[in-house]
Amino acid sequence: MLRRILARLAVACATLFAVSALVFLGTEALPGDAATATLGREATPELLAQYRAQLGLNKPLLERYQSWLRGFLRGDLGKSAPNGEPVWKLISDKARNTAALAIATLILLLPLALALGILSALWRDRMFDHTIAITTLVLISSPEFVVGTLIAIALGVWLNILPPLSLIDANQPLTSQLQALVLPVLTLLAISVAQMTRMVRAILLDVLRSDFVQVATLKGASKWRILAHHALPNAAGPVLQVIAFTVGWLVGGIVIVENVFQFPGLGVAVTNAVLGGDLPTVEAVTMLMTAVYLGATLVADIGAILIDPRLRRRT
Amino acid sequence: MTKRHLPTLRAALQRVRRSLLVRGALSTRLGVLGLILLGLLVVIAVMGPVVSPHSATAVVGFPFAGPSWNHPFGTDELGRDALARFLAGGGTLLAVTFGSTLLAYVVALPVGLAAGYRRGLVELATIGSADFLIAFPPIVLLLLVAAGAGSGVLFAALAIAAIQIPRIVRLARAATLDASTKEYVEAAVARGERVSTLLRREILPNIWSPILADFGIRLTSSALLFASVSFLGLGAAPPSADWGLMISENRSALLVQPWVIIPPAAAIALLTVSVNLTADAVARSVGRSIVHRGI
Repeated sequence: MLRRILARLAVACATLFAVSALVFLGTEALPGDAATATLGREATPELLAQYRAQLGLNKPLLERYQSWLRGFLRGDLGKSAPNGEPVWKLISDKARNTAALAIATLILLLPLALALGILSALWRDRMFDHTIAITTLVLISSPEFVVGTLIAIALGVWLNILPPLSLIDANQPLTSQLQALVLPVLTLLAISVAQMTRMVRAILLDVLRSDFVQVATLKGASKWRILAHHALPNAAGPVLQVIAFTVGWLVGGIVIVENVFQFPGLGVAVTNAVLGGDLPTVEAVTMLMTAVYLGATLVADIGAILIDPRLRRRT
Repeated sequence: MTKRHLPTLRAALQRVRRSLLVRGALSTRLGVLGLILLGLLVVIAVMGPVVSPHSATAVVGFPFAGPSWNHPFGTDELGRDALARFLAGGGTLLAVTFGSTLLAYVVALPVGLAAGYRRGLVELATIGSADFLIAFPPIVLLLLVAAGAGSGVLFAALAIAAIQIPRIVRLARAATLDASTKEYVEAAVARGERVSTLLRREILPNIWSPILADFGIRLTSSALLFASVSFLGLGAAPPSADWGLMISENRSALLVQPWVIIPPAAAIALLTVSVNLTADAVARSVGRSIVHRGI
């Protein structure tokens, strides 16, 4: 078992290394660099060359990649292109806001989606199941910004309960401005609960169809006993995968939802960095986001190995 | 059209009607509804610019004017007719959705088939690079392409195809692995068929059902990704009309002029809902019924 876990860890590290190469080389290999972004239209060839030398941009690409990677491993995310400030200083507040948004969503998402998924699998083809099926189909089909905009129109404009934008004062503690989280969290929840409910239902229906559940039914075990002792333990592994999948969606979804409400987080920061050609910030934030997703799949895979004896045996 | 062509046309129509995709889509009432809605949107996107009463880029009044007789949806942030922009704004989204998804299949199916059949180093290299690309959340990949190569419809469309390719490759490879152990494949090998013929005639027809079940997910995901990229300002560029862009351009007037935002928002949702309704019917007809938005 330990060998499997270590092998999985090695794969994750190798992937993260390859991701860093693509992130850096993909953004830096093409024309248009930090110097042009900083100097803008006034750039003369001489000024550009001088600035590039100052930033070390005239060195070969691979050498720059090495020093960038070494900085990353030490926790130095590089310097932002327009003003030369450390990237981490610019994004640390935003990272905190985004983390709050993600954690609040996950805390509400997991119990909601598990309960709805399990109930609609148990009450298959009844009214409840059909209602859930249609509602979730519509929600998983709608883009994040459409759902967010419609929620903002409904709550902000027609019912007039909440402001349609989430402005957060960086000088105040986040706990005193929780109302700014409401609309973004609601939007993320609407889509992720819909998506996860459907997947949990499908997994559970698969398990309920298996031979051991049939045997338990024939033996006369009650519905809830079958669920608790036979179905759920066998569904746990795949459900972990679904959670990792949902985290992967959340990483991208947050970028869009933050932009809908102008929530001051990493999503808005990275979008503005892309639009402004601030490559060091783009590299840092995309690395962070991909690492979070990789971490989630890693935890899910290791969890599945720990839960499922069948995965443990084959080394 | 001459009489001589009619039988071939009829045969072609019959083949279309018998195909798994069409039969599947028509197999449930919701599937039919999805097809009708999808057809309606295609008509709006194609005919819209032709029947539009105003130019989509001409300034016709004050910014953010409410609905009136002349301008049923009012005007947008620059005083352009919201209806005209709505009618002109669907073409890019539909073209990119279908274009990049089909491009992805054209590239990914042969690769997946080859990887599943060849095994060995070819398979290892293909699956390794596919897994690597899947490690990126799609939006992150789109942001990277926009930062490195540039924004715009073409880059976004290519990036979306690149997002779908590894996902299709993995699926096609798994299905091929499954199919290539069947007796009919062994019989073809024993007959001495060439590998390309074998893949095309024996394996491809037998892996259609998992691929069709996944087709709708890929289409929806392409549509959602392009709409999102346009919303972020990295897809369709102003002053062109685009549903995703319309929503982000006019967001500041959510309180005063929601009528410039609601039609494109509803149309995008309708597009993806109708694709999913159709896809769900197809997936059910081939015995698989999990529809998600793909990541």
